[in-house]
Amino acid sequence: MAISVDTVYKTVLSILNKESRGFITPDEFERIGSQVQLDILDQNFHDYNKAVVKAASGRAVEDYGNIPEKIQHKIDPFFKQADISLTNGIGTIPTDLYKTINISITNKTIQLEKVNKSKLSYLLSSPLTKPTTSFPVYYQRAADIIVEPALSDGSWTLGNLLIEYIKVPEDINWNHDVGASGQLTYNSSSSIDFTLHDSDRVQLILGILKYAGLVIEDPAVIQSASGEETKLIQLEQ
Amino acid sequence: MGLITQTKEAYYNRSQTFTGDGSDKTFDLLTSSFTALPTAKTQFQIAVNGKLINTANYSYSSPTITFSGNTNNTDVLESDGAPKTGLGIVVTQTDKAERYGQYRYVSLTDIINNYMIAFVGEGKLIPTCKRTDVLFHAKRGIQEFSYDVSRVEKIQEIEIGNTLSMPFPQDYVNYVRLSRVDDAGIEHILIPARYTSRPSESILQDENADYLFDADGSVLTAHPYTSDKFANFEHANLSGAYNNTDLTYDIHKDIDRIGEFGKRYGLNAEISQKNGVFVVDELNGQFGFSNDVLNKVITLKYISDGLGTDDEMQIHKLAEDAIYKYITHAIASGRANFPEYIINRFRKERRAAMRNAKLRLSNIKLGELEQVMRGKSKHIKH
Repeated sequence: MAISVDTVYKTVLSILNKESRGFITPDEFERIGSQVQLDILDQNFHDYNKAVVKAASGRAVEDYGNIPEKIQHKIDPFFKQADISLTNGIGTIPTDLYKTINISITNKTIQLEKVNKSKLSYLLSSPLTKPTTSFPVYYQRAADIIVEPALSDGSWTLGNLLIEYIKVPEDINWNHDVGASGQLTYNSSSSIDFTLHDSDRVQLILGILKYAGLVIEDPAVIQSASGEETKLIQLEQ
Repeated sequence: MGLITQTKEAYYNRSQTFTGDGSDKTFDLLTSSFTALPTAKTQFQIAVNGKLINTANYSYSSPTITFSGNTNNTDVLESDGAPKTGLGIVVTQTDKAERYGQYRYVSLTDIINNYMIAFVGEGKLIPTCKRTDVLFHAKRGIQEFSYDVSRVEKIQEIEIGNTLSMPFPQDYVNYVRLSRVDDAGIEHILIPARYTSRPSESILQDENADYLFDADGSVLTAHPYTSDKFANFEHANLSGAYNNTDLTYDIHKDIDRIGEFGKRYGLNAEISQKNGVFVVDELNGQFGFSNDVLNKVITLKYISDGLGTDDEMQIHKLAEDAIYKYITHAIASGRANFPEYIINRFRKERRAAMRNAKLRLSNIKLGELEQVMRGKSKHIKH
């Protein structure tokens, strides 16, 4: 479930306005919020890696203590899937792709494996590893993927592909109306909430506060937010 | 979910049966009835009440058959083409022969998928691994198992012509046995001749024994002298067999004849047979035979590596566990920083599993062994 952009904005404002420290505009908030969201998503991948390594070293816990699963839940809201049409073995990847999870044929029965471009020549040349329609591979370029054996021998009969991936978070939008006396009122229509999991709300607000401290040039805010964030990190380790 | 997805009718007859009701003209073929659904109507035939239906009376668009007329089939089809009430409609695939006994095997695709899901991942034996690596080791495993564990013997039968040679089969790796087949269909083993060979190159020489070359500097060659001589060789000269002309059928000389047999001192079992011999020409990929198998039918039992065709890439279920162990050890031992004691554990597991698989696939049946040994030893009780 997404985190309401309005709730976060109001929380940030209420913290910042305490003792009349300052104010950030909706535009500033949106820019900072989008950046912090991306930052937290990226951090979740690193946290997941650490948690898995920790679990693999024999410190795994089940149920409520299962941290890798918890972090998976944090990343899951960004999950998305889309079709990729192949033309002569080349397919365009989605523009909002952040991390590919899986590429398969549309009924998901055959998975395509990503290979290193540097190894491709060996792969195609060896009869034991040469890609087939049973074991297809792909490699990625800037905006598209090349599928083998579809490109080299044109024998592709498996149709289009399905990509499952983690998307780049959409930029948030705190849509508002301007009242008669210039006051800003939240308008939920066409507003875009944070995609982050609810459990990331505290980290999100702290992250925004850190940047907001820079905007309003108040070191106390930065120090306080950074201190809280450090505590959170220590708690999670 | 059970592993069998085909109906019994599909397995034994490659067919699907419907029952006509006099009005229904469309019938859908099911994937459970055909290994692969026919793509054109030339790939199957339809019989209604045992009578073959004229192909003009129906059309096919996978997976639906639509009847539209009854030309030459008025006894079983209505005027609009619908099969008559209560008659059985049997659709039989004709373009593919059923490969019976496939249930014994696990396909390469299944091996890879099973391995990736059961052995690769966080907290599993192999934390992370490319499917391509697994594929490589699985194929290598199938090769090794073909040589050593499962040993599926292929048999090729040909008649030996004037060249007295036989090319290696396309997927030949090594021979198991060559035999001459007699008029009763009984096989008589051919033995490799250790006393001759097939030179891959016979160099032409002048009277001074110097090599001869052509204008390009290549050495001139001829048909090997050794092969020519051996092709015309009277094998009895080597085996020591007596031709009928060597014997005198004189009633007064019976005792002498018996004496002649007795004179074959130091009998060499390898050459004292009349089945014929063969030589292996590794360089040219051929078997050469002695002239006593000319125009005879021979069978070649050989092993392949199990990777010749896609259909062959499979492993017997009795060796399924062994191939997983093989792949695990192969991947682990090829990695840097993998604890040596774990690799050793994998090695022991692989060895034990392969031994077990070999034992299972050697097909030793106590009852059969008992029958073979019956009366041959007092020590084996039955």
